[in-house]
Amino acid sequence: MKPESGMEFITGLVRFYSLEDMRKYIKELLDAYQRELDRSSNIIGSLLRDKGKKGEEIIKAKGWTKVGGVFVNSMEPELGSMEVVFQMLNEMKPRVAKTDEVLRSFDLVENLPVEENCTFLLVLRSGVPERIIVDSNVLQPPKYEYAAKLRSV
Amino acid sequence: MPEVKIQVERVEGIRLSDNATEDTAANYTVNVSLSERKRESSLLSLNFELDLSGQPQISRLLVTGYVTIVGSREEVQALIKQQDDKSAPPILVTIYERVYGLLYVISRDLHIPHPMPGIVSLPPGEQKR
Repeated sequence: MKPESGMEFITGLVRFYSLEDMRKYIKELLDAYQRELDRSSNIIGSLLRDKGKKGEEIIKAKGWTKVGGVFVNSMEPELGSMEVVFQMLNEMKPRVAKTDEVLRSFDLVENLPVEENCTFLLVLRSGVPERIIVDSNVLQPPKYEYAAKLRSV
Repeated sequence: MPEVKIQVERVEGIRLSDNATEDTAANYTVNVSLSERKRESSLLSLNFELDLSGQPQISRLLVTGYVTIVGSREEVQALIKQQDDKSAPPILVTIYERVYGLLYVISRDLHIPHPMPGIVSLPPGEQKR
């Protein structure tokens, strides 16, 4: 199931065979977050321009009711959705800032002394790179080669 | 379930004898090679080459390209590992199955016997390339 708005954020460990691959991955994450941030900003911006109002005074839907463990809004679906997009936008900003910080200082990680052929685990929490584990127990596999003479049957 | 994508980059078919027809009795030996192109923890891309020679020497077919496997490390490993010295790695069987249609069509157009749809290892004595 794909979300209609917003994106999925990984919490877990992702293994890499090189720090170069990890850097590329973090760059791709940052680009995706940045695109989502821009997209949400545009949606909110156009709504505010249309209504000629500012900030939260327009992006505050009425009619939220707590049903069990969740809030439900059937009165103002459009504004309710906008309110949520606005919240997600605010949550995305620190995610972008933190990921950008990790990427900017990644040279320091690349200069760490590590064992040859070791692998690297990137620990992500809600899509934000938090830790790196240098794993010398799981090594990079040798380069794969196969050659043989077979027969079609 | 790993995802396997095959990209064919080159196909060649050669008719080596004027006397060859689709019905000429022939066996194909297949020289295969797989070599690593790119590897990540959940992705492996391999260049492949299948060089099929008809015996007697009336035809030759060549297919090259690359295959990309996306899956967990265990799933990728299972596809490239030989069960024993005699068997081909499962990914090779998959490649052959996927390109077989192409080989069949080219064989028909060239009026040469088509290779069979499966591949097996040759006995050890015949392995020397």
